[in-house]
Order: sequence, then C-alpha cells, then structure tokens
Amino acid sequence: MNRRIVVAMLCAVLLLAGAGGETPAQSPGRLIVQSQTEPPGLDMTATPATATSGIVFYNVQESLVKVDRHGKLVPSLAERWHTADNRNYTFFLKKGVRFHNGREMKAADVKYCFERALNPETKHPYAKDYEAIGDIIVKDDYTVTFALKTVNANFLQNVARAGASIYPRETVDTMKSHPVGTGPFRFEEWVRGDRVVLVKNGDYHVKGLPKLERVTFRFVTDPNAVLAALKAGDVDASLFGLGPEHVQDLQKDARFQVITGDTTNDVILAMNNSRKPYGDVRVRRAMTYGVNKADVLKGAMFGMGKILGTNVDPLNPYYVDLSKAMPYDPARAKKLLAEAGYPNGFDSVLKVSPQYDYTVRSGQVVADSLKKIGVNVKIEQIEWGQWIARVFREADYDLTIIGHAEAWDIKNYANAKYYYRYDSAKFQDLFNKSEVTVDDKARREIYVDMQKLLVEDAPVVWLFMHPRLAVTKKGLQGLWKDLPASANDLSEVSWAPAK
Amino acid sequence: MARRRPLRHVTFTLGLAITLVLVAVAALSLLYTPADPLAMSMTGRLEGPSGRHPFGTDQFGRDILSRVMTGAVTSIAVGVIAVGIGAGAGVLLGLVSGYVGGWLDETLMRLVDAVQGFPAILSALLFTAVFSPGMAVSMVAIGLAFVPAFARLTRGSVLELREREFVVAARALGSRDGRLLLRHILPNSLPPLIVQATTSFPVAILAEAALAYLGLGTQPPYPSWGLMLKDAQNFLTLNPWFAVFPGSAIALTVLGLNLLGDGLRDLLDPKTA
Amino acid sequence: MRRYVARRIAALVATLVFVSALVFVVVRVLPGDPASIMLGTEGSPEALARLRDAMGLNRPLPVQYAEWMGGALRGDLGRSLQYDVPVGALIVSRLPVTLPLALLAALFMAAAALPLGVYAATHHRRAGDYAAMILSQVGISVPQFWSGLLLILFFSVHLGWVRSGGFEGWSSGVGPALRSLLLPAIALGLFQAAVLVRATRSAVLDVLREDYVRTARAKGLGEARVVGVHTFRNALIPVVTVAGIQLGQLMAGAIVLESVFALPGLGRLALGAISARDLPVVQGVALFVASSIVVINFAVDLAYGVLDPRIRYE
Repeated sequence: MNRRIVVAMLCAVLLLAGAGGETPAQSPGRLIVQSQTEPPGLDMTATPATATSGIVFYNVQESLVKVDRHGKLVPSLAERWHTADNRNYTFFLKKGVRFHNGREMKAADVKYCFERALNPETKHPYAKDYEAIGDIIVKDDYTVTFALKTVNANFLQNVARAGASIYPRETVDTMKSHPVGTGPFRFEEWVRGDRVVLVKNGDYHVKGLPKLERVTFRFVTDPNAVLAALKAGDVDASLFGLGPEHVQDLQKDARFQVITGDTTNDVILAMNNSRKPYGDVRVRRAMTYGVNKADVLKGAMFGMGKILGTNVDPLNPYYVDLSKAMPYDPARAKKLLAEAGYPNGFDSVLKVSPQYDYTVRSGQVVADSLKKIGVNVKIEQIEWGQWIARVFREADYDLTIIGHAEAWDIKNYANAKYYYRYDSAKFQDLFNKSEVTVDDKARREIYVDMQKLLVEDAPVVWLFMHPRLAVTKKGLQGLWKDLPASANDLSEVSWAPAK
Repeated sequence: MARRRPLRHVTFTLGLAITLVLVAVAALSLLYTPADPLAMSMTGRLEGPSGRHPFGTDQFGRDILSRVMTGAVTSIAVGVIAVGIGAGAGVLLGLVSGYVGGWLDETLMRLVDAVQGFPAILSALLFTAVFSPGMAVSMVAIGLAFVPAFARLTRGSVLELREREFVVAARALGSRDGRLLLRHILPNSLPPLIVQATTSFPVAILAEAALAYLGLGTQPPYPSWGLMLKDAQNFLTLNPWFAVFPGSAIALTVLGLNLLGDGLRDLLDPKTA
Repeated sequence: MRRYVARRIAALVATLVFVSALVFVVVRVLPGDPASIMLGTEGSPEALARLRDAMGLNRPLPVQYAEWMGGALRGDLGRSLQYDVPVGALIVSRLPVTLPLALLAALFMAAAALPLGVYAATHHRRAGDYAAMILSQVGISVPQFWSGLLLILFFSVHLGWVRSGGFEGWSSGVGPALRSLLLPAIALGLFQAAVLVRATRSAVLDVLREDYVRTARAKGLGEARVVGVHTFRNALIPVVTVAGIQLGQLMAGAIVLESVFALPGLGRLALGAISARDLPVVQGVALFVASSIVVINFAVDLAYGVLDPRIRYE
C-alpha cells in the first residue's frame, strides 16, 4: 500500500510537471521587470522610497520638468519656463495633457499639488525643498507663476523631483494604493507581495510613446532567485538587485545584455566626527590614506564602479575627478596617526547593515586594509531598522558604510546635525552661497571649492560610486544607461523586431 | 550486560571516531591553520582547489581550508551548546508537565506554544537590541528556540510511559517521584530525544549564520560554516567548491553525531541486551 | 471531555493575549519605528516627527495596545502601515499560498517519511536501512535555502519544467497554481521528511524490541501483521509528536522558501512587516501562527488518547 502511495505521488508530480510547462516567453509589447523591494505604498508624496519612485515616477506620474537620461533638465508637463529675476518662475503648461481619469491637467492642479506639499498636515517627505515658494499664481489654465521668497539655485532641480509630481486632486485619498497621473502608463493593479502591473496610456501626451503595452514589476528579493528567474526566462529584466558576481556570470551568456552605467549612489565610510578620535582631521586623513579603495572595489564589486575622492558623483554637472587627490598611502597614514597621538593605532567598531550586501563586503576589505596601519576595526552587523534608528538618526556609531543615492546630496555636509556630525563653518558658508548663486559659471566655481574643501577636511572616506548593474534579455532597447534620477523611465523601451 | 562493551559497537565507534576527528580539527585550528584564515588576496579570488589552497579560495581570496578549520570551533560549539540548552530545559519542562499533568501541564504547554508561536526573528532582534553581540547570546537564543520540541517530545513519552505496567508497578512498590522519573521514565523516553538532538544540530549551525546577519554570533571577517555556506550561494557558478567544503563539513558532523546517537540508543536501551 | 475542550479554548485565548502583548511590546521597544524606517535616509527630523505623530506613535503604549485590543475583539485587526489595507484581508489574501504550501509539504513529508522509516526499521542493519539513512542524512544536512535553489536550477533553469518562482494565483487554474507550489513544497518538506524518517525508524525499532512484539512473533503471526497492527500503532506516539512539532516548524521554514521562490505568502509578509515595524501586520500573523500551533497541539493531544487509551486528560 505504501508503494502505491509513492507511485501515485510520483505520477502526480510528473503530470503536474509535464502538463505544458509554459514559460511566459517574451512577447512583443510586454515586459516583466524584477524589482528587489516591494514599495511601502505607491504615493510619492508620502514616501521617499526608491522602490516607489522606481515604479511610479516617469511611468505613472510626471513633474513639470524632467531630468533626462543625460542628467539634463528638459520640459515635461511644462513645455517651457521663464524667469527674469531668479525669483519668479513662470511655467507654460503643455496643452491637452490628460490624467488617467480623463480630466485635463491644468494650472490649478499644479498649484494644488505644491500647496499640498507645503501643508504640514500632509507629511510630505520633501516639504523642505519647496519652502522657498512664497506664492503660486495661476494666470490662466496653462500658465502658472511661482514667486520665491529667496533666490533658490536648486529650484528647477527640485521641481523635477519625484516629490513634485502632478496628480489630480480627486485621487489624493487613494494614491497610496492606486496612483493616477499623466504618465505613459496607467496603473492597473498591485497584487500585494507579488507584483505591480502598468498598462499603456493610449492618450499619452508625447506622440508615439510608450512603446510597450504592459509592464509587470515582480518582487523578487533573493539575488540568486533573480538570477535563476532570468535564466529560466521568467523575467525579462533586472534593473537593481543583482550582485556583481551575478552580472559577471550573465555577461558570458549570449542571451543577455548587461547595462553598467553611472549612478548618483556614492558609497562612503562615514566616521562620527563628534567622537574620538575622528574629531581630529589628521586621523580622518589617515583613514582616507589607509583605505585601499582599489581593493575595496575589487573585493566588494568585482571592480565595477568608480573610485570616488569626494562627494559629487560623476553624473553631476559640477563633478571634478578628485579620486587621486589622496591616494592609498599606508606609510603616510601611519605618520598622520602618530602626529595625532596614535602611533600604535586604535580600535574602532564598524556597523554595517546586511540589507545592502555591498556594505558588508566593503567593510571586510576596509577592515583588512586599516589593520595594516594599526587601526583594528571590529565589524558588527545590524538590522536595517536599527541602523536607521541608532546610526543614522542618533549618530550612535564610530564607523559605518552606506550608499547615499540622492543626487545633490553634498548639502548634507552643510548640516552639522547630520549623522557625520561634520561641522565646518567654512563649508556651510560655501554651501549657502551656492544655494543663492544662479549664474552657472560662478556656481560651478563654488562647487569645485566645496569639493576641494571636503577632500582637505576628509569628514568621511568616499569609497566608490555604486554602478548601475542591470541585465535584460537581448533585444530590449531604449533603457537608460546611466541613472541620473531615481526612476526607471520605461516610456521609450521596446523589443527589437525579431529578425 | 557484560557483553555491551561500547567500542565493540560498530555504529557507535564509527560515530565517535568521526566526532573526535572533527573536534581535533577544531582544536588544531586554534594552534595552526595552513594559512591565515583572514588574509585577503585580491589577485587570487574564487579559485578552485590547488596545491596552495587545497579547498580553493573565497570571494576575497581567503583560504577556504583554513576558514573551514577555524569555523569548526564556532559551529561545533554553537551546535553542541545550543542543543544542550534546548534539550536540558525542554526535557525538564516535559518531564514535569507530563508527569504532574492537569493545570500545570496545560499552563506550561501553552507557554511553550507561545514561545513557538512568537516570531523567531522578532525574538532574535530583541536579543540584539538588549545584549551586546557575543557568542553566548546567540547560543542561548538558538537554544531557547529548541525548547518547545524537546519539551513536547519528553511530555509525549511521559504521558505514555506513566501508565505502563513497569512504572505503575514501581510506583506501587513505593518509588519516589524523582526516582521514578529519572530511573524509569527518562531512560525509556531517550530514543526520540536522541534523534531530535542530532537533527537539531545542523539547524543550530544554520541558525547561527542567520543570527550573524542581525549582529549576533560570528561577525565577518571571522568564519563559521553556516556563514560560509550562505555566502557561497552567490558564487555557485563562479566557484562551486566554495559551497562544497563547508557543506560537507556540516554533513560530516551530522553523520558523526547520528551514528553516535544511534549507537548510544542501542547501548542505553535496556531491551537490547 | 467537554470540560477538557472548554479548558483548551480558555488556554488558547490566554495564549493569544500573551503572544499579542509580547509582540506589541517587543515591536514598539525595538530601535527603529515605522516612521523612521519609511523615511529611511531621507526626510528632515521635522518631517519624521510629523509622520510619527500621524502614525499615532507618540501616544502612550498602553493606550495604543488597548486600542488595538478593542479592535481585535471586534474582529478588526487594524490597517497595515505599509500596504494601507486591512490586516485581516491581507492575511486572508496570503493564506491561499501558505496553507497549500504547508499542506503539500506536510503530505510530501508524511508520504515520504513514514513508509521509508518503517521500511528502514524492519530492515534494520540491512542495505535498505542504510540507503534510507543516507538519504535522510543528506536531507538533514542540506539547508532549505540551498535545496530550494538547487531545485530551481535543475527543474526550472535546466529542464524548464516549472516556473522559477512567483505565484499567479488560483484564478489562473489549479494546475498552474499547484505547479508553482510544487518545488517549494518539496524543498520545505525535504528536511522535515528527513527528520521524520529517523524519528519513525527509531520509534518502530523501539517497539519491535518490546516483549509483546516478540510474543506476537513467537505466536507465528505474519511479519506484515506484526508490523502493521501491533507495532505501528504503538510507535505512533513519538511519531505523532514529532510530526506535530514539524507542522509548526513548516510555518517558519515557509519564510525562507517563500523568499527563494518569490511567493506572496504569510512568511514573507511577516518578514517584511517586521523589517518595516508594521505592528498590526506582525500582530495579525503572530496570532494566526500561534493559534495554528495551539490547534495542532490540541490535535496531537487528542491523537495520544486515540492511540493509547490509557492516556487520559482529566
């Protein structure tokens, strides 16, 4: 009898397995994208999560101005804009743009969205970015003027952010689970725990776009499962989440194309400047000289990515290559440590969160290279939620490693309360000046000065720019190579016609 | 009785031999390893076995043989001590609960249910938040998770044995409760407990790796078998050997302990004279 | 008996209250609150303070717990902070994945382990016994995250028989849905089966040595009858205990395999909710798991009574 059960089980298994093992093969117009983290809600005015903007921004909702694939500010919902005094910005809206619910987008909607962001009741995560706005004047249905209280050199950048996307006011209450916008794709469904599905917006305001009919974002967390899903043909593309070792593996596979580009993600070794011994600039410089960044890049990223020397990423228009300003030099590091009173080095604890595997890997190489200058680094892994609470919010740490993905995040060095606890009046002055300097050439000069000052002060050790590691099936075209904005613009993506 | 010389028992002897060899390797690693288990080499990463690195190298070019040896200390210690804690506390609970019965049984067993029903990750996180990281903490954390299984198994046996003829007879002859439990009931409930203990061992080793990610237990760059096995998963195609060696080490240990357990079972069983 | 059942129900309620209080305190005491995790490395301290306020995190803990309890008593488990849907509905939506997964794994476990264990015991120290023990040895030593991955690599990537992961839902048909649960169920059941084989073998061996089995044999009863009637029933007590323990552990194992196979099940829900400190969801799942464990153990206790009428609960 037992044997009969076993036989029956086997038959069932074979039947199930054999019964037409259809794989969702790539079909024209359809795309299945793997997404590493499930978004904490789809409302970009409620969460800054990149998992949210990675799906919604540019695809479902758009803003007046757009950062394009080259990092340039280009028209989007506003077809042009104008300012005479850098205080009053007038945007001329594109006509005939319709929300997914059929209603036309008008100047009153723009006014509503920005006023809502500024209203403390709404808990907009980026309200600070818009606090310079004094008054929003609707001239007519297609013309709106922002009167700023102060000159704000970043104003257009901020208007291009995910937090400044334009949505219809009647959908505000359901945006968290059903975002409505003007984008190339309409939101169709969110099966919690499994996928988000977008479908083509036939009425999109850019003619000929989008090219795809249907996009599915599937949530697969385990990188090895992502690799298997790609190889089995169950997903068409992985835009984020594969490790460098998986990318190397897929590079050898003729069925796939690998996209490695630049991003705004700067991976840093942060030192708590308010704690001994990191208050001493000589110690911080010694740490910079003492970390072999080339080895870190090899050990953690298989050599992919770019070594950084300061906190402006290569996609930033004001980027200066300072990666060789303080090269690996253990002898010099030791000398600096001796001058600072630590001829035999010291002990320190490095807290890293396995949420981001590259930080733990980098940490091991960092510890290995600092050992050679007498700094004994003890690694402690910490859960992400506790990292946020203890390290990031309370600055309860000596050393930590993390990637900062936000563009223009040099501003954090001007904030003495930020978890680096870097407090330099000189830097703060420079930064404040940069915020009100609108002339591009003058502003660039300030940015160069800021970068050089940071190298001198070494408030953190900049390790590398985390590269974009995307893999797709061959034949998928139109994806961005670099990622200057925290979005996955799929409007121009399509399958190459079969040969 | 005289015939039961342990070393004549093939299973037991083989199990003992394997276990002793592993313990010896762990002890040796404290004094000597072929290479520094922490030394990195960016030019020799993810290599297969060679004369220089008999087990190959990991993603940082570290010698896998030396890391497996060093990892033995942690992994064997965690396995033995965590299972010991779980078995010790669980058996005690199970004996009392099963023997006394009634409301006490109900209360203790529902407490055990609560322990099992409480999300393990949550209790691990609580441990990381309250205690400073260390091996002892993770051993206790893992051991606690084993308590429900041992408690239930013991209780199940006690419930059954309590009513058996030889126990009833012993009670009628005036045996005290403690003596009854230790001399008559416990030895007869050992077989399932031994199986449970040996099968819990690899679970403990892997749980140690899971806790490491939360900051408890072994922290990188120090090795443990569980951590190596988890790491190796990412490099399956680039260097399959990376997984084979720590995986085999775990399997070998489990084999040794299983044989040892089976042998012990035979030797301790009053019925196989 | 009726009094016994009533007592068990009272104990269930007490267990659930205890678990919920514990979960509440632990989630709230852990460093990292849902607001700070949602904002991550973005958002000013002021924005964080406002969000905390909006999530009601600034009110006294007892008030928060009492409020949750009040809702729970009325059958309202609250709303998920990250998903913005009612927790009850969220859990119900995950059951069609996790319950069949656990059930399939349990079936696989029982169907593989019980016959194999009995076979090994009745062929003690013979080739069949050793083969069974080697199989179980492998099953015990291979961690679930590895067996899951290896199954995917072989059956999905290499042979292309089944999908590598994901779950379309039962609405797409029973066949496809079962197919996506097959590999994870095998991976989940494999370890448990390997443990159960050993437990079964050990229990049967134990009983085979008992006097009354020898008597039965001496009476000239056929081996099949000896094993089938006399032995197995008595051997079942530890087997049932182990199986009960393992049913409870299947839930924990499901977390790992739901991640490897990208299944929208309860385990992954719980994991995500703990990471996000989404208290209502953690509570809901913990209550569900704790109740299932209490119910499983109730069934185990009843089974004891059926298997051995001498065991009685007053």
